[in-house]
Amino acid sequence: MIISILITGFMVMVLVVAFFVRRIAPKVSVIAYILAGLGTFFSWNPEYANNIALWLGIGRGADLISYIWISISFLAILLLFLRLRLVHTQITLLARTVALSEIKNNTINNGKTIL
Amino acid sequence: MQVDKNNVWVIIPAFNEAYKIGEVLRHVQDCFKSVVLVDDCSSDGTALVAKNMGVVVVKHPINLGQGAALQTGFDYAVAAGASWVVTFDADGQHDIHDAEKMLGHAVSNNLDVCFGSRFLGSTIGMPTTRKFLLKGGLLFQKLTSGAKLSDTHNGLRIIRAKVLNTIHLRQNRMAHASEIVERVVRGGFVYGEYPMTVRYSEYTLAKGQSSLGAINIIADWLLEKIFR
Repeated sequence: MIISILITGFMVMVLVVAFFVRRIAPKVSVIAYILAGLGTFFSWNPEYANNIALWLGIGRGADLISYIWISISFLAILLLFLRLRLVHTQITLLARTVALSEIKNNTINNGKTIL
Repeated sequence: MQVDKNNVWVIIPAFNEAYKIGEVLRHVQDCFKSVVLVDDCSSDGTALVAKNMGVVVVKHPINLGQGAALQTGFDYAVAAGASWVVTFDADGQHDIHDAEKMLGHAVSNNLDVCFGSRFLGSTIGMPTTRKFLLKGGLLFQKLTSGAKLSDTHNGLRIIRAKVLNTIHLRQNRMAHASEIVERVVRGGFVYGEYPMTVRYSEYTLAKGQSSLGAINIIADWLLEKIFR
């Protein structure tokens, strides 16, 4: 029961975050609502997780949830990495534009190149 | 065929090379008048030294890496009307007279790109580990791009301006060298090599990449391939 309460607490936090990001990332928000709901449900009704796990050929409900959690975490890290990569590319383009604009402005203002 | 050297831009990416850059630029300016130094957010006054030498200085507001600095230099040179660019290291490893010979070789053989090769030429003071690492890099490059080169991680290159319209480097750090070779090969450009000399000194070895940098290069390359 203590674990169920703890997990429910985490899921509530996920729900709160999902609510706040619903406008900027609506799809992520919906997925988070679903996962939070499922996480809460299975933490209070583990026998349902066991049934699904057996149907899938996995020994225990807890194992099923662990595998799903690991997969979701990996996917989240991958998406974060891709987002970071995109941001890094944007920063590079921005820094380059700033550097080249500065030299262009210096040349226009002074007729010769200065820093 | 003569080349108007005013339209040949020497691109020098630099990061914290205040100690050496004055000497390097002095030699470069003896042979080429159009020089752009791309300062990758140095903190030691590299840009000021270069400015006092009278070269064009483009300064990154944040440190991005040598590949990014080179691409900035490419963008500048193309906008300035370059017909050819020379990529040249800032640490004094290269000899500008080699660049002159490479340019002549590229023009007379109608090459689009001429890569410098220390293994066709000579090295002075190269550590043995570096040699093995470079040979490993060569094998890697052959397997990944099919390039027929003897030195694929050499910073001295002559590139025709039209090639730059298709090279948009995505690798900010040291994997850019592999990326340039790959883009040249896949772009169907005519490329060749020319012997040149690389001088290693305590200063250049201290400033250069560590051997573990090779792992970063492979990782960067792999990630770019998977998540293009």
